[in-house]
Amino acid sequence: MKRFISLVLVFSGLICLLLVWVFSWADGHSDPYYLRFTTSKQSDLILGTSKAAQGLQPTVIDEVLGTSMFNYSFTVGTSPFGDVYFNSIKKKLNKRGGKGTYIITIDPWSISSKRLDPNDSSVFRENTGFLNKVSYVNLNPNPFYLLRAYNGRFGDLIEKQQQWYYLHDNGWLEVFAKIDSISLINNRKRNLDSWIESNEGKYFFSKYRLRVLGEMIEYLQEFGEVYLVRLPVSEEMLAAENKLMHDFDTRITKIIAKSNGYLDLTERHENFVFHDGIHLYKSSGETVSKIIAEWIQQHRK
Amino acid sequence: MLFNSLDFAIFLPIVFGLYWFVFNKSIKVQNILILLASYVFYGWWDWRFLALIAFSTILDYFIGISIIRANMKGQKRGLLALSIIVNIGFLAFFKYYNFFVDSFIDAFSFFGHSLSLTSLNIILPVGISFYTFQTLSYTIDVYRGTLKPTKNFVAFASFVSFFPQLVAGPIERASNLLPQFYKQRKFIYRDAVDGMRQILWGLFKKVVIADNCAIYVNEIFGNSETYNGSTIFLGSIFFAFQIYGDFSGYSDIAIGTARLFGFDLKQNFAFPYFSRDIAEFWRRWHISLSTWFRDYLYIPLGGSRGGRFLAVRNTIIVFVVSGFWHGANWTFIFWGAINAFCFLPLLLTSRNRRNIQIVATDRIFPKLRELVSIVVTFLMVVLIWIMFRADTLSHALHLYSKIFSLGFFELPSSELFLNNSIRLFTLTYLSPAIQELLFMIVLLVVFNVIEWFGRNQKYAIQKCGFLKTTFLRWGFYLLIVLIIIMYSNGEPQEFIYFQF
Repeated sequence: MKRFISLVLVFSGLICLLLVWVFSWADGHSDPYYLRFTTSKQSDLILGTSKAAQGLQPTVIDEVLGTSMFNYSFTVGTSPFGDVYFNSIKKKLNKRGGKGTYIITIDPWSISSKRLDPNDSSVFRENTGFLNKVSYVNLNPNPFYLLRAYNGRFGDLIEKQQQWYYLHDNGWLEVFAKIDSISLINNRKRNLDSWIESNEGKYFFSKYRLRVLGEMIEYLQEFGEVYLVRLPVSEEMLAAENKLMHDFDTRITKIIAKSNGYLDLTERHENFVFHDGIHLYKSSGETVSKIIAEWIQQHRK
Repeated sequence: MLFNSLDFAIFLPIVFGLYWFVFNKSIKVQNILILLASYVFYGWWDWRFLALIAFSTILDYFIGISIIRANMKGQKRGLLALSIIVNIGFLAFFKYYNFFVDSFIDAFSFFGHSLSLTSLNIILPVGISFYTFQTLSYTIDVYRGTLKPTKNFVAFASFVSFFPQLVAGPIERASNLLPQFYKQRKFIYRDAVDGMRQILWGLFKKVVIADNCAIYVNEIFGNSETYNGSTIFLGSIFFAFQIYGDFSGYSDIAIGTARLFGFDLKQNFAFPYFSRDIAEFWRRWHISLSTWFRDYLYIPLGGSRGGRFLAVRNTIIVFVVSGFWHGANWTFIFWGAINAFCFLPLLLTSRNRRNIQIVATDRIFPKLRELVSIVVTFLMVVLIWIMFRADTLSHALHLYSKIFSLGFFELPSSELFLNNSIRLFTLTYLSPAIQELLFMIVLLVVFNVIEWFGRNQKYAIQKCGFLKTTFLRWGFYLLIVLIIIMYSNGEPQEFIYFQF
C-alpha cells in the first residue's frame, strides 16, 4: 500500500506540475474574466457590470487620483448587485490597505432581475455563475477558476487564438471593435438590438438588489470613499433603461445619500462612441474615466 | 457525479482513503461505506431518485429470499413476475411512457381518430436501464436456482448501487459481483496500478477522442441539410469513434475504479472495431448487455434450438428489444432491426461464430483478407450508427439519402472546418481547415494504432509492452495526462450512455 500511495503521490504531483505549467500560460487573451481572479487583494475598486468593465480604464483614473484602481466589474448576468457579487468583492477587497476609493457604476439593469419574482434571490442567474463558483479570487494561477468556470479547452491557453478582447492586468477589458459606420450598425444590431429584443419587458426592479447595493456601500465606506456613477449609453439603450425604470433617480435617492457622491453621465451620451450601442468605445471610455476621476478629485476638495 | 469532473477527482481519493485506511478492519463497514459513497455519487446528480434505487433494492432483496422460501412453483413464478413487473414498470414509466403515448396518438390520428392522452414532463433517472437489468438478473438467477439469495442486505444494496458502474455499466451479474461483497478484499499493488492505468486510458478515450469527435458530430448531424454526402459520412465515422470513446471510456474508468477497491468487473468492450463481421462486432461491443440479452431473453425464448425459424425470430426480437433498451425512439428500434438483418445472413449460413479469437492474434499485421473484412465491417457499423444518432426516422432517411447520392463523391464541405476549432499544434503553412482535418485524422490514427497493438489485452495500454523502461512508461502516461489536460475544460461533458 505504501508503495502505491507513494506512486500516486508522485504521479499526482507531476500532474499538478503539468496543470500549473498549462495554467501559467493564461493571460489577458485567454478569457475575459480570468485575470481578475489572479491578482492580489485590492484597495481601490471599480465595480459594476460589463459597461464598467469595458468603459472604465484604471490607468486613466490613477493618473488623476494617484490611486491604484482595479476594475472588478463583470457582466449584468454575473455581477448585478446581490449577495454573490458582494461576497466576491469582500474577498477581493484589501481591508488593510488604507483608505481606498470605490467607484460603483449603477444602472436599472443591475438593480433588477429577469424574474417574475425579482426578490427571490434563490433563483438568481448569478447563483450558477462563475463568481459563485470561484472561492479564491487572489491566486495566480487560479485553478479554482480554470477548473470550475473556464469555458475553453486548456490547450487554448497555450495556443493563443485571436480574440475580440484583451483583459489588462488592472482588470480593464479592452475590446477590439471596428467603429466604421458599417461595423457600428452591425455591432449595434448584434448586441443592442438583440439585447433589447430578448430583455425588454422581462426585467423587473428588485428591492433585494437595491438593499444589497446599500449594504455594499455601507460596507465599503468602512474602508474608504464610495462614489456612484451612472455611465452614458446610447440613446436607444437609455430609452430601454427609462422604460424599465423611469423613476431610477428616485429609487436610488436613499442609496446616493449613503455614498460620497453620485455622477449621472447619461445626458452626455451624444459626446461618446458606443461600439455596440451599449458599451463605450475605448477612446470614449478614456474620456469618461478622466471625467469621473476629475469629478472625484473635485469632490474631494 | 461525472467521472471526468473535479468533484469525482476529490470524491474518489476520499472514499479510497476511508476504505483502505479507516474502515479496512471490517468487511461490513467497508460495504456500508461503499453503499453510502454510491448513494452520494448518485445523489450528486439528483437525490430524489435515490428512493427509486432504494425501493428496487428492498423489493428484490425480499423477493430473492421469498422465492427460496416459497414451496409452490406458482408462488415462485408469481414473485419473479412481481419483480419483473415492478422493475420494468419503473423503467417503462420513466423511460417509455411519453413514447407510447405519442406513438398511440400518431397511430390513431393516422387512421383519422383523435386520442386525448397527455404526455408528462418526466425526468429520466440516470442509469435506470443499467441498475434495473442488474437487479433483475439477481431475481431471475435466484428463481432459476443458479444463485443463492443473499441475506446480507448491505452487500445486496451495495451490489445494486455500486458507484463505479451504477449509471452506465458494465451491467454486472449478481453471480459475479455479489460474492465479491462477501469476501475480505485485499489491496494488491499490481491490481491498483492496473486500475489507475485503465482509468487514465478511459479518460483519454472520453476527453480526447469522444469529446473531440463530438464537436464535428454535433455540427454535422445538427445541420445536416447544409452538408453534402461525404461530409455526413465523415460525421458518421466521427460518431462511431465518439460513441466508442465515450462508452468504452466510461467502462474503462468504471472497471479501473472498481479495481482500486479490490473488485473485478467484467470486460465490456473488446476492441469491437477490429471485428471481421457483424456477429463478432456484437460479441465485442457492450458485452455485458449482449450477454444479458442472450441469457435472459434469447435462450429463454428458445435460442436457436427450435430450428431456423425460431432462431431468426429470436434474433430479431433480441436485437429490436436491445435497440429499444437504448431509448424511447423509433430510431433505436430500427437500429436494432437493421443490426438483426445484418446478423441474420451469418446466422443462416452458420458463419456467425467463425471469428471468435481476436484478429491476427499471433501476428503484428492482419492478412489482406482480414483487413478487408475489418474495413467492410467497420463501414457497415458506421452506416448503421447513423440510425442510432439520428433524431427521428425521417432525419435518418434524409442522412442516408445524402450519403447514397452523388454528394458522397464531393469533397467534404469547407464550412465544417470553419465552424470548428480543433488545434494542438499550429501548422501555419496550411490552411486552418486542412490543419483541423489533418489533426483529427492523426489523432484517430494514433488512437487506433495504440488500440491495435493492445488488442490482446483487456484494454489497450494494459501492458505497454512497446515501452521497455519505467522512465519511458511514465513519460507515456504523462504525455496522455498532458493531452487530456489540453482537451479538458472547466465544464466536463456528459457521457452519451447516461441518457439510456
